[in-house]
Amino acid sequence: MAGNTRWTSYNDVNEHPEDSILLAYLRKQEVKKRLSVSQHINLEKCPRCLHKLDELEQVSASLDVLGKIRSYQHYPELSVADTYERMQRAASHRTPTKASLNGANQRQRPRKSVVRLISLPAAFGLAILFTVAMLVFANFSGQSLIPGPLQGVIRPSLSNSTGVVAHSSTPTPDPGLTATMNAEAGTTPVLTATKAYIKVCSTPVDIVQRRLVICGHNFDPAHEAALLAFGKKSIWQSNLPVDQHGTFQFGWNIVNCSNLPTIIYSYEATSSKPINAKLQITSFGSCPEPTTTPIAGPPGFSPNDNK
Amino acid sequence: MVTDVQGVERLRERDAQAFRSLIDRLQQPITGYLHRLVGDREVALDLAQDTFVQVYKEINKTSGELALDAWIYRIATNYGLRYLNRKRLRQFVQLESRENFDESLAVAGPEDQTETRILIEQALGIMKPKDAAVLQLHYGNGFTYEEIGQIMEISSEAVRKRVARSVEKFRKVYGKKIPSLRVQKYENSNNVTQKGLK
Repeated sequence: MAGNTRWTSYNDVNEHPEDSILLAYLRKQEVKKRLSVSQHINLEKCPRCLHKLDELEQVSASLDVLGKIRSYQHYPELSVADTYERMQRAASHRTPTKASLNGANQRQRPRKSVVRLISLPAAFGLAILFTVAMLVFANFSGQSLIPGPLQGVIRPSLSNSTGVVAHSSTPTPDPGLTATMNAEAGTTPVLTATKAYIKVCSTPVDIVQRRLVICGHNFDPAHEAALLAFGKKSIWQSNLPVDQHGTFQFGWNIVNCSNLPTIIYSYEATSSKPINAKLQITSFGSCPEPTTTPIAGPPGFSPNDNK
Repeated sequence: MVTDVQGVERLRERDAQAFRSLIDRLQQPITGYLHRLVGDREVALDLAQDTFVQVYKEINKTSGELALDAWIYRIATNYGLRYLNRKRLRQFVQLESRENFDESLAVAGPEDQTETRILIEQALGIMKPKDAAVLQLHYGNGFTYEEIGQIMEISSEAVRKRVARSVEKFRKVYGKKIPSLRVQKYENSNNVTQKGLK
């Protein structure tokens, strides 16, 4: 229904239907008093209305092209099954309003405008994240968290003159040093020839000079090892070369006893079969027994390994 | 638009077959409508799917007799208008003109209508989204004033006035574009004539 027929006055003599009524009449929509409109146009031959009708007809003819466009449009990429599946999936995950407002789509296809809008800030953000991650990683692997021995921290070093001492192939406890060494099982300090393990291999001289030296054995010679030391401070040391005998070593200068690591984990990071070893340090040289706090071990270790 | 009471009830009961039939029947026309409304094929595909997701989620919340098609077109129209309003805001901020036109609308069909269609779409793009939508629904989809009233939740009389107002606006905008088309056609025909004389 197109509503009531309205008429406008013209020269105080004739009355003409509104343009909207003429258009509705032209478009064959329901018009009240259609007969009277028809009579006004066809019988009375109102020049004003005929002219307006002609104008509206021309515009409508142009707009009718929209209906022809419709018949050409086809979207072969749309399938009923896919749409139904997406309806179910999207309805259970997120509201379409949010999807629309956020510019995200449910279809797994790139959306040009969104990509254009998002790509630049996203790339910028990723670059910042990557830089921060690299800095953090470099901080953990390259040096201590608080640099400088004067501040009383563990200073890692790969050189013999500072921290690394000669490798001792047999795990013989040194005097003045008590350490618990576990292989993968982490039960009793059992050292076998086949399983990888790490131990403290500081010499008496190292201990006097507070050099904590960690030696790894039975690691894969083709790969690199990494150490993760937990204590008051956590330190991550990666890219430790494993020699052809499957051993590696690394040392820290313990400037301040409070920074003595309590648990050290070792990984063979680049191996397809991850090799892990754990070492618990109860005391070192003249340093008093550290107060150990429960530490959630990294993947591959159970909490019972600490015992 | 037919009110399919049983079909609506099946949809409310989450009947998979009913939804598949609905998608099969309306997916292409809804996408085409949105394509013509927003002028971007990719966006139209997304909005069409958003529409069906909304149908799936909201059908349970409807009650009584529901003019299903009108309701779905209403959802699609709301998505289209929302997109256009947001896009218009972006363009206002970026000081862009809305002369961009999705070429995919101009590809299919007889070549002699291509230019006309481009101009029509451009003219509609300049108009207010609501005015463009009402013309798309009536001229593009062939909906009656009454059906448009159901879709836009306004009276038939309001639709009649809005269509007339929109047609008048379109006539003004389109009239400004026509001369450029005529000049282009004249130049083309002139080239042909000159070639013929040689």
